[in-house]
Amino acid sequence: MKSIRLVLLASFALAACSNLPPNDSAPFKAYPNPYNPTAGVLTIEKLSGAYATTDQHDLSILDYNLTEVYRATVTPSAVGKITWTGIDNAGTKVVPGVYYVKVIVSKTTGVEGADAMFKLAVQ
Amino acid sequence: MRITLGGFLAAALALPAYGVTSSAEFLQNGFGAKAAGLGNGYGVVVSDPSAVYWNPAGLAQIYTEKRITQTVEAPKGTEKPAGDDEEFNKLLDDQNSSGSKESKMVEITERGLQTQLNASASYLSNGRLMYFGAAGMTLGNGGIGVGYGGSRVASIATYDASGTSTGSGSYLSHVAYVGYGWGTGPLRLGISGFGVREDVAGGAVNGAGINVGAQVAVLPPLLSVAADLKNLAAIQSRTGGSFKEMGKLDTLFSFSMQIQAPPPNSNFKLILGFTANLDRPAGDGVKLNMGIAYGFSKYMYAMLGLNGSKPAVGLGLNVGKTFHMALSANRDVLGREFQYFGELNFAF
Repeated sequence: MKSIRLVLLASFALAACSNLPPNDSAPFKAYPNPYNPTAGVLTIEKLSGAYATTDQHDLSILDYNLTEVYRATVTPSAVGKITWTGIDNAGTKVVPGVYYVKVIVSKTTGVEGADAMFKLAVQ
Repeated sequence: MRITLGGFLAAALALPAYGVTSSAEFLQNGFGAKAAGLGNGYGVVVSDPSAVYWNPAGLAQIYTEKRITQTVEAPKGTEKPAGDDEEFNKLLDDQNSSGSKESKMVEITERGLQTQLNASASYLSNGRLMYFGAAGMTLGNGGIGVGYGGSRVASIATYDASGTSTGSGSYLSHVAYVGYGWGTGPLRLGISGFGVREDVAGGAVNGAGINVGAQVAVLPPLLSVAADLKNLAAIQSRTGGSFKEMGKLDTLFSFSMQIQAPPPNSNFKLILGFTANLDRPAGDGVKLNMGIAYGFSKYMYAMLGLNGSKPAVGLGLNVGKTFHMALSANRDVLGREFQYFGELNFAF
């Protein structure tokens, strides 16, 4: 019975450590969504808050299984806007499916908790 | 050039985590709590209808053992070989023509009909829901199985090209399997075919593939091994937007071995193996699969697993041979995301 209690405790400990990143409540939007990689670029726009125009972001695209298929440090093309051309790290257009877009504001901004992760449907 | 297994695995694991992408990603995650709890090293363990996904050779284990007593005529002095009725019967055939005979009562084990139902559901972080249901029954020297599963991701905030909100959409995927596993002696072989469809907010992906596998009881019950190849020759076509193209689903090769403590302490099971994505060696590389199952009693067991970088814990429940349940929590690649699995299996 002691072993059972240990397993249960481990299960609860794992669950309690869950610290999901902001999910769809992030102050970002990506458009168009659904996105067709052959039809243009994806624009990721910050909806609120203040970042300087030149603030850099790390853009990470993850597939359904949360495997990172693309990561780059990008400079906003306009105030609060960054873009993605729909390619993976190998330079190939990603295939249809659900992806997760993760935006990480550069640590040089000193902005805490600015990570955002939201769903993107790729056609 | 001599390549050691350790060197190969080290090189594979050191590869960068990127590469080309492929459709039907949910098929790589796997279904079921028992599999998750054992680190997805499940191809050597599976013996229920979910084998249509994990390793169709496991379908051959869907049967009951029916023991019948039979009177036979055997040459005097003939002894029944321990634990092998087929060998005994062959011995009788060979020797019945010579020597004096005597009547013997022997106990013979035959395959009896069994039907199993298996259902599982899992919630993965970031809104991913996965589910799978399968049914299987004894057929000849094996078992036949069918299965249906899928995934749903809801509440995808949608926007038009100018960034104006258009509400929300969903991603739905479906996969259906049919398979057969056949066994003789220590060898089991299986094949299943599947069709898959993904609906992505205005676009769709259709595909199909096959899954072939084997299970071998090398030193029963101490050592068993299994190999499985998924998605071989699968193709996909996608429509939506302004283009169509043909592509390929991922091809996954998995190998697993089960080491079980000998009786009377056979309540400990160790699973070791690996899964390789043959289409994306530079991306997914090779994942190590490890699992430990320990039975506290005939009713309850615990699992610890490691699937690549994802550790899992699980708890299983057995009630006779008719009801199995497993729960597991799995930590995924981001290190702060969790996956929860539940599974039920009924045998009749």
